[in-house]
Amino acid sequence: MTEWGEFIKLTAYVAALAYCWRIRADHPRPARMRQAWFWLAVSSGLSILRHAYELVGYLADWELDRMSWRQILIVLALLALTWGLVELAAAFRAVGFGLHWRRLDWFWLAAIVVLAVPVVVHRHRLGDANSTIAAMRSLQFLSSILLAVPAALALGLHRISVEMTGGKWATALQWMVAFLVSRLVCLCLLTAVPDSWLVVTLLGWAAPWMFVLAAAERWSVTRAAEKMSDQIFAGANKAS
Amino acid sequence: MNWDQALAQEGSRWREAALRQVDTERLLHGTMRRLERNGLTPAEAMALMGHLLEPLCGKKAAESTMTAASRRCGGLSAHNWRTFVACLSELISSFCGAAAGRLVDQAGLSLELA
Repeated sequence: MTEWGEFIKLTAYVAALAYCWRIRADHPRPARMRQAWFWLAVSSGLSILRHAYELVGYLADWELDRMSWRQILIVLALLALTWGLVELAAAFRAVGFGLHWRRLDWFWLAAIVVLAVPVVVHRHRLGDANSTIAAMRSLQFLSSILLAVPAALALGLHRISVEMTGGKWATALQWMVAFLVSRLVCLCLLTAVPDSWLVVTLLGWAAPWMFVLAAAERWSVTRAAEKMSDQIFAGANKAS
Repeated sequence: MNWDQALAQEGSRWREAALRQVDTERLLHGTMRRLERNGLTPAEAMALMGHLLEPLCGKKAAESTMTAASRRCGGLSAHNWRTFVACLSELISSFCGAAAGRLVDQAGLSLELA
């Protein structure tokens, strides 16, 4: 079952990488949005490597220490994801979105911090915390904190999606928010509620697909625009 | 039916046309005929562009981006419509991508302004 889980996540990140790379190409070179999708693609690529490593590890029945080297990939993927989200929010802020936070947003930010606390406090319950390699234990601690940062950034994306008032892009942002928050919820349950393995497993499988849906929805903006554009171009050519 | 509703209806027609592979030039003439004008005023053209962009980036995003583009090109008039379209295209492409920017360019420049 664990192997299947890894395979499901691996497939999701392959799909996400394909979408992110296409979306990146839809933005002109100096654009921050291009940078954002580049880093999201990098994060997806690193997640592919991480889940491929874990899949091989589970199939070959590696011992904990050898498995714990995955923390390098986890931390790098989280850093790339965080940077991608920062660039994404900055691109929106440059055109005036996400500048005004409401009181409710601060409440949600506090909720994210509350969710992150049990992850840090009970991190010894996570597998790699028992690795004999000190560096991997440190990285595992870092990844617990780093997971909360994208979840906090998701609040900014949520505010932007509300300000946009509908449209495909806003739907894409909402899927991204769901992806980022569900991962933190998942880790919080895993550490604080030991009996929640079924919910954690299902949510853990679903989370990467939420990212795929976010990227697919954003890609549909490009596809719809191209389709409409082709029609107008064809009409103009016919008229001339 | 008031002017706003008429424009909203025309915007929906444009969006559906893209899905049904309808001849856009014929659609544009139809729009003009239905709106009973020889050309649109800049504000009306902007409203029509707003309805075209709405399904892609949302109502408020389309409105505020058009306001920003209008401010950037020094106010909106029939005289500087092309400049406005160029500004809008640049702003839209910065967060919706180059394809959406091209759509703004082509749709904006195909509109006849009075």
